[in-house]
Amino acid sequence: MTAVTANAPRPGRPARLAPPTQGRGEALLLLGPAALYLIAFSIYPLVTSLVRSFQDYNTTKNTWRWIGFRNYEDLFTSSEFWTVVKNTLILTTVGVAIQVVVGTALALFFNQNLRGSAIVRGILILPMLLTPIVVGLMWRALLNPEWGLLNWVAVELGFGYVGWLSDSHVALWTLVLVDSWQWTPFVFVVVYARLQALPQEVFEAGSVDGASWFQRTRMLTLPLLMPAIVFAAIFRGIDAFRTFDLVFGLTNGGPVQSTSTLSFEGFQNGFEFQRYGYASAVSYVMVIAAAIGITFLLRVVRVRRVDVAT
Amino acid sequence: MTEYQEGSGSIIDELVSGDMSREQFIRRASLLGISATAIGGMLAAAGKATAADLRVASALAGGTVNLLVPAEGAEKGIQDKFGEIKSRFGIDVKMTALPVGPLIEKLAQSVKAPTGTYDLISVLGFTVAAFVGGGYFMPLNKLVKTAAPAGYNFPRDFAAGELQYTGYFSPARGAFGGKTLYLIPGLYAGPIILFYRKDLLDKAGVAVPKTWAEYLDAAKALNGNGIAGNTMIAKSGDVSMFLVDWYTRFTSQGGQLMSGSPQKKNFAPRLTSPAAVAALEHMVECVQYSTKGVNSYDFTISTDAFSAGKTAMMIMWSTIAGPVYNPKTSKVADKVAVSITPGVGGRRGQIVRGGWGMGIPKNAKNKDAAWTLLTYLTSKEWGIYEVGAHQTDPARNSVFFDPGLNKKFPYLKTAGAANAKAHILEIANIPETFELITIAAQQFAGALSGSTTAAAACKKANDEWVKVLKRGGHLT
Repeated sequence: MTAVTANAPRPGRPARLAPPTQGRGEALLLLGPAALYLIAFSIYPLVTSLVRSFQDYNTTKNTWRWIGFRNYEDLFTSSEFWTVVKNTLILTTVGVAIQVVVGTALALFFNQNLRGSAIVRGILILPMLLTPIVVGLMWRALLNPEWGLLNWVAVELGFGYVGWLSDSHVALWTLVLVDSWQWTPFVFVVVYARLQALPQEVFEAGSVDGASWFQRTRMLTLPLLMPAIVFAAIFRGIDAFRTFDLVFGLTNGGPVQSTSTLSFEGFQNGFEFQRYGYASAVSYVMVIAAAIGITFLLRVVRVRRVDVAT
Repeated sequence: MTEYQEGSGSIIDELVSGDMSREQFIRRASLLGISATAIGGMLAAAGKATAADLRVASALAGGTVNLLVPAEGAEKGIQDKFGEIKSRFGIDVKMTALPVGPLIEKLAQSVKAPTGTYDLISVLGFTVAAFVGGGYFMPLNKLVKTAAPAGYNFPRDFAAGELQYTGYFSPARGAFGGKTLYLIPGLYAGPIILFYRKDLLDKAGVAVPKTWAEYLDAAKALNGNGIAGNTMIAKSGDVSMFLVDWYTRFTSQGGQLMSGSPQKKNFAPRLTSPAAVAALEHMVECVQYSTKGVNSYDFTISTDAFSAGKTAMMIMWSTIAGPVYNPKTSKVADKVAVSITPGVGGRRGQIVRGGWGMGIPKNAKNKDAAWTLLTYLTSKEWGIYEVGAHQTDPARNSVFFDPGLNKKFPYLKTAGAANAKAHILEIANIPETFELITIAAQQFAGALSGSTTAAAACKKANDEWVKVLKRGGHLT
């Protein structure tokens, strides 16, 4: 009791979170498992792959040789690499933009609480629940050049046959389409949940002041939704940036290299061609690019906290 | 079972005479596939059995074999035989069947680990230099000499070229052949032949094409009425596009893929040679008389389209297309015929050697049982069953030319003849083979889809090959 009295916070000073009697052992015990987990599954692989990115692997001799920046030099001087970067950026920016716009629009639409909307909402989120490989197989069937539904529709509508996956000018946009089909529901769910939590008084006040639906949406709803939209965009951006399964399942990176992404490039070089050093360099470029991209995005968007008096 | 009984006679004599210890006897008998019960009986008869012997025999005679094979059809036959393998050899087979790319990935991970995941692995011919050359597989010379089942007939029953390709290898020289046996050819060889619709050719009055010009003319003549004149593997990056469709056209017209040698570090590609460009141009012309979606066709879709009666001709791995002769899987089973592939003069039928070999990694956990399973899966008995049930190609001559099978599946004889004539791809002896083929197949797809010309695609592929060969130290 004496100790407690002695350690009682003085008026005007913040309370300490842990008493000084707490031993170092106790802290280690509490933090140790998490630290060990981080070291084993994050720090060790990150450091190892960083080292590997400066080495060359000899398949025949099973040996590693230090080659400095050669892997990075090969990477940045290769025209294929820049094609792959361009594909990844298109898939990320265009795909996520479509998903954010359509997902938000759907959330606003379903917020009207129309009749039967609960059932449609349930159906709408189904694509998100499928694994990417299943999505790939399903779309392969839909896009089948001989008997796929999409080509049948295209031909019936008079557009003629479309090489969805075999035309190098079309294949990447097909991937954007499939990715958007699968992940628009994610943006919808996030934005819709936020919409449901917004205080109605603000909108009622807007109506009383004579604001139209369009004005209320532009001046009130969208600013209030911005944190959720930004969260969904960043989350989807990171995910789209490392797209692999869809490419693997649908196009295998082709035709030529028109749909190859950074993740696929890393996979193919690492696991099919046994170029582990080069693949590590690709991965590190991805890590650095993702870190820069997210920092930039957060600064540009500048999400402001919106305090709403209730 | 009789196949495995003959070999046990001499070891019983050695046990009785005292030339062989109990432990040696148990190990040898287990390798011959003799069951634990039988081993116990033999030991008891020789007055040398103990309770511990039976436990050891039981462990050696069977156990679990983790098997890695390609998912290209033969895995169905293995699955059919799980029960029989268990009852005859006491072996539980845990099989992983994967497409080529993922299989190579798993193989690489497993053989480089301190203890391997797999005890028995199928190795694609094009990856022999990387994995056998890397020293990851155990030599089989002694086993094949002392512990092969009676009637195994090795090496006489295998094509010499196949043994040189997916059998013997010299890691020191980085070359196929030599005296050390690391793999046994199997689950199947990989010849390429021409499949065609006999009824359509007869109706159109078109003869079986013997040259590539005749092939193009036939494709043009047969195209129409909802049936494509021909089909091919045109999917970007598909190694079979390069090997089956492009390389067959290239080599059978006198093309030479490389000059120099990796050892002399002057190993240079000839993808810009007139023969190389002409082979790709011929494919581009054939695309006009193919199905609309041919640019996304792999070997499965090509074969399915042929089986569905949508195409009139295709050049294909016979191990993949065999089921077009099976009425259960093909609408055209009674209308199909085969021939060796077109070509110029004596080069007609000239193809690349494909196929797989099976080997035991040095880090396998259960080598004894793996050897027992290996000898079974490369036996004539299994080959006859597999071809009969699933029409994948065998690796043994006696199965290719088995009279009963030839009657039921007439393509087999042609495939066997093509297999004997196949030659090893010029770049198969370096570890970068798979990468080089993939690069070429990616670039060639550009020409096939019309986004670039054949000459430009060949030039691009050639430039990429030079980079890879220089990086690998094969070209300076």
